[in-house]
Amino acid sequence: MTPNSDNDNSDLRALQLGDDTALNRLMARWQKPLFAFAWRYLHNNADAHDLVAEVFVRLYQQNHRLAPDTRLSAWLFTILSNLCHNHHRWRKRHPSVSLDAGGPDDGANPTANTVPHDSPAPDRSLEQAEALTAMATAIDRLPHDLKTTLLLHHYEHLGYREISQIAGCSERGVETRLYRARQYLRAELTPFLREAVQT
Amino acid sequence: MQPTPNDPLDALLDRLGQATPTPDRLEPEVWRRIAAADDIEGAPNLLTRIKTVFARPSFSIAFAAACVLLGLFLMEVRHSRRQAAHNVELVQSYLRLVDPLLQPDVATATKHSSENLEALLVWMQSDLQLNDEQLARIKDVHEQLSPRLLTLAGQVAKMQQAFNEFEKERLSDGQVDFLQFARYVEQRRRLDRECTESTQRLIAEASDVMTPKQKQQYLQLLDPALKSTSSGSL
Repeated sequence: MTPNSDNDNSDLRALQLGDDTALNRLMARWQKPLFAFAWRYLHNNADAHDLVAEVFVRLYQQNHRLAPDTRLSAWLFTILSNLCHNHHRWRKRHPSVSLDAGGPDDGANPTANTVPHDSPAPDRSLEQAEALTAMATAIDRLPHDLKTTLLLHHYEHLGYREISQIAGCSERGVETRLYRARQYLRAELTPFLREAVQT
Repeated sequence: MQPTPNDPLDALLDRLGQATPTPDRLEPEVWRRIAAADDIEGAPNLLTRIKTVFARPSFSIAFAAACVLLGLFLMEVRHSRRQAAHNVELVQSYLRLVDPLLQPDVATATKHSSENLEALLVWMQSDLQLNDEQLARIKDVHEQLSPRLLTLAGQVAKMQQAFNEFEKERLSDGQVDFLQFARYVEQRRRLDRECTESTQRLIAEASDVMTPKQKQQYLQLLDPALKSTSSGSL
């Protein structure tokens, strides 16, 4: 995780003292990792944008409740992961067609625009895209706690301690969740992984 | 659990990570939502406002005190109105006592004259805050003039009886003796004048006993009743 926690704390203090521009600095610093997490969780641009905006609104509204030494990254990801979880459950109860290109539920390829033009052959590219779609679908099917742990660890590079704060479990619990998440993905993606090893 | 080096799962996860789109600018949307939330908080409904205001102990106490004061004020107003109505009744009773033209029945007036006078003097003493000496002198004035007023009241009653006979005659015969009626009217006017002068004399003598302030209050009390009763006299 790149953002600096000292800067976070000074900006949080400034926000608590009434300096609203501190929120802009925090947004500039945290928007990208938060959006990436939300997008990987939901696979929907508009929803991810909406939930990340909501996180910053809550930060502004609740900043006085936070202790000056609060680890802001953990607080932001905790709020966002809860929002993502609630939104994901709501989406399951109220299914709709996404306007975004791609998404595991609608069968479209979430990585269609990222296939490099210099790929060796169209059939090879198709296989890779298929593998990525299967991966996205498998991640989407993970239970919330396993998914959050996996996304925070693999993509946001958070340590076990920080993830344990966000997920509300022990560091050992984080390790177990990570193991189970990977086991699940391996089981779901066996043919694609075998192909990857062979190539 | 640490991932195995060159784990194909990590490679696949990394490839998926590269697919993350770039986020749009968040600031305008965040500040718009914050402003909207502030607007909603800034305009609470009536019930919320009342709850908020009454949550302050100082306001609650002030409101309770204001309610008590308002209640006392309304009670005082009601009491004052009732007292004023009672005063008007007493004043009218007093006027009936001192004005022969207003006494309906001479026999009853004679019988209850002294009782009425006692009761009305008690009212005058409390209302005008008369001392005992003033009260005694006012009582004397009333008692001295009372026989004369009763006599006049008797004459008024006789005149009224005479008028009734004129009226009866007019209705039965279809005519009256105009000379006789003109004499009656003249006598009645003279009697009315005497009655008015006697009443005014009594009021003047009674008010002479009083201080200027008491006198003013006494005349103010009689003024509305005098106006209303004077319009009823001939």
